[in-house]
Amino acid sequence: VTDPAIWQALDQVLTWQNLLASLAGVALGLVVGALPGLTISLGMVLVLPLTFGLGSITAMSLMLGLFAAGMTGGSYSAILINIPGTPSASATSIDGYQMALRGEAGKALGVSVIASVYGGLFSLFWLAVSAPLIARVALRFGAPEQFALLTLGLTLISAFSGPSLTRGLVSAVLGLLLTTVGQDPMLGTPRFTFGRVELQAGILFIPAMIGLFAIPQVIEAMRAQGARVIPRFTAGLTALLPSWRELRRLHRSAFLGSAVGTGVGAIPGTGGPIAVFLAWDLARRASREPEAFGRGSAEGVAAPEAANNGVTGGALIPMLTLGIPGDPITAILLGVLIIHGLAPGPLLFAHHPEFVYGVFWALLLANLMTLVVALLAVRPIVQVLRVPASVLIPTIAVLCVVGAYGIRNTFFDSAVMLAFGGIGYLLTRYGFPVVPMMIGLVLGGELEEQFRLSLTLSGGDPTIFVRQPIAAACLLLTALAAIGPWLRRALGRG
Amino acid sequence: VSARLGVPLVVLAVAAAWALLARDLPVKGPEGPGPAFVPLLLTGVLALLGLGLLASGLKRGGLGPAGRGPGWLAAVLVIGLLAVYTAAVARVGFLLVTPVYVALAAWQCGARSPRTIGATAVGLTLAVWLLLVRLFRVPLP
Repeated sequence: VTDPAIWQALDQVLTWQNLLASLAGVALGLVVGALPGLTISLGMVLVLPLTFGLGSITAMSLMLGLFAAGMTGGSYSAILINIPGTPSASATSIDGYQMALRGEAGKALGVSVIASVYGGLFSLFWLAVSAPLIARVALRFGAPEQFALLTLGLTLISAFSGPSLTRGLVSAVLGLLLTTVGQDPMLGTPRFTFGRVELQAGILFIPAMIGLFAIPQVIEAMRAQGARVIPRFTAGLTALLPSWRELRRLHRSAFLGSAVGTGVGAIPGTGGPIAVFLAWDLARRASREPEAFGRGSAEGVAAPEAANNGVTGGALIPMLTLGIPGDPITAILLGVLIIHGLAPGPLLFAHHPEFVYGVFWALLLANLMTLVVALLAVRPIVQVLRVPASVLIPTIAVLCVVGAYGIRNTFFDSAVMLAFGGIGYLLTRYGFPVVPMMIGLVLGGELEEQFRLSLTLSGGDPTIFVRQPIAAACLLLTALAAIGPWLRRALGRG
Repeated sequence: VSARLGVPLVVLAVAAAWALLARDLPVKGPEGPGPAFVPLLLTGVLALLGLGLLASGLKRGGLGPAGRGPGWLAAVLVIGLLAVYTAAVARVGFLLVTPVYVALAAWQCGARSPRTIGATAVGLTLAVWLLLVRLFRVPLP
């Protein structure tokens, strides 16, 4: 609190541009979250090219608003029509929809919004407390430790992103291979550029992200010929604030959900969908009325909603302190930092403390704005559920092409986006997760640099990676994560 | 060739092709690993993973959750149409080409009323143009 950078950051955040950016992000997040079939990552990836012209804090205010509000928005459709707007709202529909059927949709929405903001603020507190401490420790990491940490993060993401670790790793290695296109990071030698000047700087990950995430969704929507069947809802459309007594009764579930969300969010590769079911189950076990869960319990809404917003601050911990994005959303946020010339990791805390504190304030602002907008604008947000796919999908497709173009004002980037759209489609079609490739594309450059730097420092001796205790521990965990599934199967057979 | 064998073979082919492309790059640099070192290492890992997929495919007679997602025709149509749209915007201009693309895409998404399609085409084009060109100063052709 005595650090002047904290208050300087607050001054930076409280400008009309940032407030407007945060409000726009929150409104967009609520809409994207509420619309089934559109994900928060898709919304963020489409907005990403627009952040080029904004200042770093303004860009983060916009993106964090979208992130926090998107998590809350997912509950609208989960409660009203039993279709989760985002995967992170899946558990909310279990009890939320039952409440809506009972005529308590307004109350369910109110509980969901308040629990979401509770979870968001809880995770922000832990982010603000733990991140500077972790960064201080991570400052002592050399190249071998950083390489080992990044390898561990990527392996965990590959392991958690689908049922098969091998497929996750194939996707991650393909992403890493694609980052070797362009100038060699140590010597500047051009690699795999085929004489194209546009490839000298490598494959830009923004068009790649747009293609990987948005194009498969456009293909799916067009194949289904816009058959986005949204059931009509008859429930009341005003969010009702629960009474003080009800809030006190919900506190335990919201607290549990927030703790689970923050903890799970901080583990790379996990994220909202895992946290919400874990939180719902824990809250049911801890509840005085476990039998009400699944039949329209307000506690069953509060726990997963607190958990999915708890993920927001949790996920920022490894991203900001170690430069490891745990999921697509934090990978996009990392992209925002890189666009603005900021390298995430412990040095960010040492060299740009006002920016880091600015991120904390922006996340606080995003949560408070979500509380106000989500409670007051229920009716217009719900109307968005009626927008036909024939308007929505062409909008996304056009934004993909011109958004990729707008990065460097060249249609080469639009072509790269389309190529990655094809890759994303092929990966999905043949059961390979897309997320490890995306994270591989983001981390590849840094991973190669730290790996080669370590070997250069050791004169080519690979034992440098096991001589340092932290690097050795990370690589041991990586090996365990990699052989774990195989070992489990072998033991199971035995 | 079924996906059971085809997918691992494609993975192996990508690894081999990348290794072939890296053949002219130096593996050793002046003070440490050279530009080809990491790409070759990664192609080695990819080849091992490809072999793992091949082995599990042959053993279990299947590759798990393969075959999800929409069919080829939809993918070729969507990506093909977007590629034509991209090329056309570069040559003809955003304001002229976008309404045509949006109308086609809206029809592809199930819209059948000419009024709805027309309104979507014009409204969306103008909205995106105003947002990008006027607000964010993206110099669209």
